[in-house]
Amino acid sequence: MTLADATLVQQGESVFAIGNPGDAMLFSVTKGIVSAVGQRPAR
Amino acid sequence: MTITEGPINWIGVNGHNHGEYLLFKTTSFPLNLDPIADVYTGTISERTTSGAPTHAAMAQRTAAQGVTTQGVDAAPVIPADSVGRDFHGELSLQEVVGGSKPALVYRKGLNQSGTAFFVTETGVIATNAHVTRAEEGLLAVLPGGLSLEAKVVYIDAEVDSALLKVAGPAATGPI
Repeated sequence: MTLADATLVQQGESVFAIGNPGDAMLFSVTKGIVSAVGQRPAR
Repeated sequence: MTITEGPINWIGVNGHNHGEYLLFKTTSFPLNLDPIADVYTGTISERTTSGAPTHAAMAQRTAAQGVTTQGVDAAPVIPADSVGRDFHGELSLQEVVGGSKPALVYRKGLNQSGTAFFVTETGVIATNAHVTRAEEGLLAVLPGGLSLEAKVVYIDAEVDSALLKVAGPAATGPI
């Protein structure tokens, strides 16, 4: 499986995430849409 | 003797406030460097804006030749297991999840945890930098529950990415 170019992701596109959100649901799958691109949380 | 100063406010060149830090003073900083051939191993594939698949970096052959920035963009190498496995419209969600999940890692540190995934067949794991910084001991927990010690081999705070390496080959294939 090839990694996609993240710069091609568009707002509104359907996406899903596989991971460990908050340690609560390990190895879970979540589906949603891209809310925004180019946004990074303030550090 | 005072060996620390601070805390000092860290303002990045882009104006972001990264919080406070302490400045440690010492006459020497012991560093243990691993040979690059031990760290950047395996093959990573990516899809470029042109749509043509290229495969970046970290191949054992390039490591053996001495990896340079130019070497990262070496000639495409298409792993046999990637042929015909483009998920853009070709695989169902169930198939993508089923194919990806074995490469998934629960990356656990003393302070923070998060998600990671194998990107090579030799034990190199990709994760986020913001959950990796300041972590010394890291565990890579696989979906089957197996825990492997991992160490940080690369961090790029600008793109919030980090690479970890577990000892020995990955227990599963790359994503």
